[in-house]
Amino acid sequence: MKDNRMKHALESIARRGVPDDIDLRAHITAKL
Amino acid sequence: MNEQQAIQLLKKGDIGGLDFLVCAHQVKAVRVAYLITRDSGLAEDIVQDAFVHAFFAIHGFDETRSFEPWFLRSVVNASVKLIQKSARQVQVGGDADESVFAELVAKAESVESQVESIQVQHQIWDAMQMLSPRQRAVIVQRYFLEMSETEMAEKSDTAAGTIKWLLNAARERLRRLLERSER
Repeated sequence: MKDNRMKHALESIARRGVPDDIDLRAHITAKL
Repeated sequence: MNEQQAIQLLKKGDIGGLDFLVCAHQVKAVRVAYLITRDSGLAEDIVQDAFVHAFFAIHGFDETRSFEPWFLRSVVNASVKLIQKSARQVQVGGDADESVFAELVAKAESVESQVESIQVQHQIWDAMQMLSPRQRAVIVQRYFLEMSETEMAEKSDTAAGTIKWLLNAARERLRRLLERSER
């Protein structure tokens, strides 16, 4: 339970910082 | 297309394989880098570079294994190295860590359902900044990626005892906060 709560907290923090719709493909292609 | 087919394409130099892997893994990878670096722009740069590295290193990858652990290992290592080099990084010792988490525990006692609240998430976020980059990485690996200590040691080529020590130093303080918040 405690581990789940910590995971939930980190997931919430990460979701706020990094949206679901990021797309790095153009940037990566430009670096190749 | 599945992941194995994407890797086979990539090994033939077909960028369509990389396209599949980026779509499948970019969000989780950037979130892992963000939790360690605390900088979303930096996290995106790290993951872009990790995919570029994967493109050139894919020939050495055993395609019978899962791509994600191999790839996230490079993301975690790159994130830690970059932060360790950063002049902005604030390193604090065990005593300072202790005081930060003691303060968190005190706050947690005053309000119910703390861990789920945005406020405490911010406190955890702030407290993680006070951990060393390596300690922060093991917290992310253990709780966000749900890796066992054995997996963490294997993936980072680090002695199991070192991983255990790093994890205990950070985890016990976080657990105290979570335990108090449940009362």
